[in-house]
Amino acid sequence: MELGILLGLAALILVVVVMIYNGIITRMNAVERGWANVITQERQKNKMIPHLEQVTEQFKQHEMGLQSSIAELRSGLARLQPGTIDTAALQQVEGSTQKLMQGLTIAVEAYPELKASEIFNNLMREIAEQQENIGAAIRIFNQNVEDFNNGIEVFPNSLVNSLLNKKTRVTPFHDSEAEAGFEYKLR
Amino acid sequence: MATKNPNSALAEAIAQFNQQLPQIGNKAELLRLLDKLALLPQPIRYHYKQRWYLCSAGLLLSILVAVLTYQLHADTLLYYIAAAMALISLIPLLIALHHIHQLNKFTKQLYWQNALLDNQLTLLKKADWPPTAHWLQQFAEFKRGNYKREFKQLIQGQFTGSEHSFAYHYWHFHYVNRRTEVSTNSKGQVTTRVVYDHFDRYGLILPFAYCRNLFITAFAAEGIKGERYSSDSGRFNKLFQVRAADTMQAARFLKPAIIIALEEQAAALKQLNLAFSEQGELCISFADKNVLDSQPAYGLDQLALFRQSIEQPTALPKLQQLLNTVHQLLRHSDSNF
Repeated sequence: MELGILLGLAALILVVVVMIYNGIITRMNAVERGWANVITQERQKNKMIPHLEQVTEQFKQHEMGLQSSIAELRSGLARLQPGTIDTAALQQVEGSTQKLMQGLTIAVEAYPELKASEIFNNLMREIAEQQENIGAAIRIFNQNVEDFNNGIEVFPNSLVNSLLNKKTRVTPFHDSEAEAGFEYKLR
Repeated sequence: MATKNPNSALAEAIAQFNQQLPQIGNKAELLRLLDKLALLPQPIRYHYKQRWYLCSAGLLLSILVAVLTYQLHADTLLYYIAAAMALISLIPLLIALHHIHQLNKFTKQLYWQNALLDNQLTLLKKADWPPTAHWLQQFAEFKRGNYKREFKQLIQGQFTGSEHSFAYHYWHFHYVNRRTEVSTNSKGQVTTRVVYDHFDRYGLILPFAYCRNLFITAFAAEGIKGERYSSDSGRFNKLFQVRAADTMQAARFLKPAIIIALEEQAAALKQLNLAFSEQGELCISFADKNVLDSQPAYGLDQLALFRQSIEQPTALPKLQQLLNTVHQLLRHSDSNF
């Protein structure tokens, strides 16, 4: 009788441990997927770069500065890898994007006819939507990171993680400017 | 000629204005109705103080008669007299309560009419309803209920956003489930009874050309088919189930900004579902009945303040939030080139 209870208890503990172990792996996969999504969204900018280059040719006074910002953004995007969670590289890309957008905003003020053109406005709208998606992807990544970090730090998960999974905390991405890119707020 | 009792005059006026209310089509007409209300003796309220006293006295007297009858072991006929006195005292009280209820209802109705006008909403009469049969056929949402299914209310609206404008219908759907309950009493006798469970769902229907055959559900109805899809967000996956005829289409539609917008919307509306039909219509449904609710801050007894609140635009924040979400879905689904 007692042996049966002990065996039942052991089986129960084993099931709980397996569930926690699998939960940690699932949440880690969600973090990696979230990161890959951020990179996918960032790389969407590559599609915009040829259009931007075309537009900047028209900003004669500002062309050099904008071209160098585009080059900086392009090389930053190339450094981002879906397999490696590198928030510093992401921060650099976001910085380059902000710099480019600020440059464009200043440049366009000197060319009112361009500001009124449909192609330019569509391009700016597309870039704004891309930035929103990047901001949202970062937010999803951070949510997944928070769930993962909670999943390895709360008891008894911390015990299972230290013995079996041996995963370490993932640092969420914090960039107020990138998050501000996600303009949509529910009113 | 005898002068009319002020309470009866007010009751008559309210009944008359109540009939005019559904015909009001713009703010100017609504303000004209308030002008007519301003001609009534102010403040607009019933004066039932005397009636309260008389009714209270009548009730106390009937209690006293009943107590004395009990203590003096008097004829039981006195009990009946006491009960009759209590009933007679209660009748004017009930009439007064009915009048007060009517006045409050009218105030709320007036304010709601104003909220509809401010938000470009038109309550449709049944004769003006669009054919609902194709909605019932198109969306699994309306296949709920094994006994009865009916639309209770349809309101037509128009949203103008920075990039997209669209017409929509707000609907209130009622359905009834019929089931048989079997119970056994302590003597082992089995009895069966038929139980009717009533439910209500609310939502919007609008044209949505950028996505078809996709179902995002927190409270799925039966009959939704398609391949299952999981998004990149663990929280979104906990909130919603996604089914699509083509998972690639689901992946394309569920951009991060849309996922976050729907997560936030799900925090504001219970049992939120989105169904994109094959015919290019979007049906959003939820359990919250207060999306079009708007409560007046003042009653008609403070007519000047009530008028001021009517003159200000009345916001329906929950509806606005939902429409902004729809606008967000449209913005991120269309092509900018």
